[in-house]
Amino acid sequence: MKEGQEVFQILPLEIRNTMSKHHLDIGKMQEIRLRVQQPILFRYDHQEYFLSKERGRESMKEKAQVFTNEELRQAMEYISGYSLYAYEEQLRNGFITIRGGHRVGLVGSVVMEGGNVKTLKHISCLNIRIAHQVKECARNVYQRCQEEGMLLPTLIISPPGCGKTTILRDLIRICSNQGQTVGVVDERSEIGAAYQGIPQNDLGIRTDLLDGCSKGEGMNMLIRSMAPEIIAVDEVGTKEDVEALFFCAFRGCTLLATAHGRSRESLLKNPYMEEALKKKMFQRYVILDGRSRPGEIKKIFDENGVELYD
Amino acid sequence: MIKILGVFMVMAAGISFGFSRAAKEQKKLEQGIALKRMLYLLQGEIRYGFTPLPEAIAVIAGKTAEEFRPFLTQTAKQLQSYAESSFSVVWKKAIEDHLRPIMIEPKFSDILLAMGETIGYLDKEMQEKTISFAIEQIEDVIFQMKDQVIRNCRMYRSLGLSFSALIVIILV
Repeated sequence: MKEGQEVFQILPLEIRNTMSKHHLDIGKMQEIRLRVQQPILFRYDHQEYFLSKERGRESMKEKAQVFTNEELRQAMEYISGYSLYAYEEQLRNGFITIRGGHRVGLVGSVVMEGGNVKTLKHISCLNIRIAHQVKECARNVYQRCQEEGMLLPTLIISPPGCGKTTILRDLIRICSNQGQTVGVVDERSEIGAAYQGIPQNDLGIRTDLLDGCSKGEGMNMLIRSMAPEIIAVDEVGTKEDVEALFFCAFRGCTLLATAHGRSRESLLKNPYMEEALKKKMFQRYVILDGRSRPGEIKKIFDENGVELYD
Repeated sequence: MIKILGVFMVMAAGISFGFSRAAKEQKKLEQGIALKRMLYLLQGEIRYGFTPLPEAIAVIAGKTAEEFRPFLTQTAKQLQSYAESSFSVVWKKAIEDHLRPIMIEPKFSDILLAMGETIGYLDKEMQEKTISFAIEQIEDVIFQMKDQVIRNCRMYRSLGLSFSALIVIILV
């Protein structure tokens, strides 16, 4: 399947037609934003455009194609595979991961039950983030985060949409192919994009993937069942995540994780991550650059804050 | 000698006609039971694995009675192609194309058609209730049919025999 084809399939027919007519390549898209009664926006080659029936890519709002209620209904049918019930848990978190590991963020009215989010109804906006596997994009990072061919505990830090998952995925692949056994807990199916349990992205030959499992529980399960040398997880930050990271570190696993933030210091505001940082759980911190060039390395620090790359 | 052969052939034709009609009656029941089994499998896929409908239908296609496979396979394929805007459209088309022509009892197709209008909607509990409701309806139809089928089977078999005997008497 062509890259991004899964995203094309979940778009309403009218939008698919416009994109096909103007030969818009989903592989070159980073994001599509669909808001009911608003013009359709998308990022193509790192630039924002409106979608227009006449020209495809359009910079003037007035000429943009407007996203309708009916199209939203259609899109929801396709996103959920006509089965919204199968995504109850993901809906509670405000996003659905589709085949190919692409993430669809949703907002609407929240239904609360017992103080917790039960589900979302009257969904009105969708943000489709297109995942790209860029092989060898983490080679540079790997060179600076390894010692004698063994990865050092590494944390990749960046704001959303800067390519954390892409770098993480490639690091997993490189480490795995270099000879280390990697256990991956893929809570949102974004790393491996597993379909019926089989990773659709290349994660290397020595990678065991636990798909759709919460990070905390998943890390414990992997340690007990698969004895990995490296444990890789995406977007850590909660108490449970950090506790599980400590559990893995104590058992001699090398940690490879990502976290939201702008710098190493910004993580100190999170009390759980602060503890992890103070106890030197990670020996390498990779800071990624802004949204204009996803995946670009800004800085790499060691556990003492010494810069290794600028 | 020719007479005996003729008698034998008429008797055999009449009896086999009766038995084939009885077998068709019997098949009505068997189809109902097979449909029930298919719905239990679908319910299991949804309950156990939260499996989305296209995947669930593709999985159960391999475990259901042979005659329902084209129906399920077409549904799964159509759903996976994302060409239609709703599940019910795909489901209805597959029923009309592949199920209705082979179902002896039309009520079973109607029950599945009605189920397709609401399945996929809301949460897992809703799916289970929708499928359970369809299973209950199938059971009701089977229950109502059962005595009738047994009576009809007996009737067709004896009719086949007696009708052929009558022809033999008239002709000989």
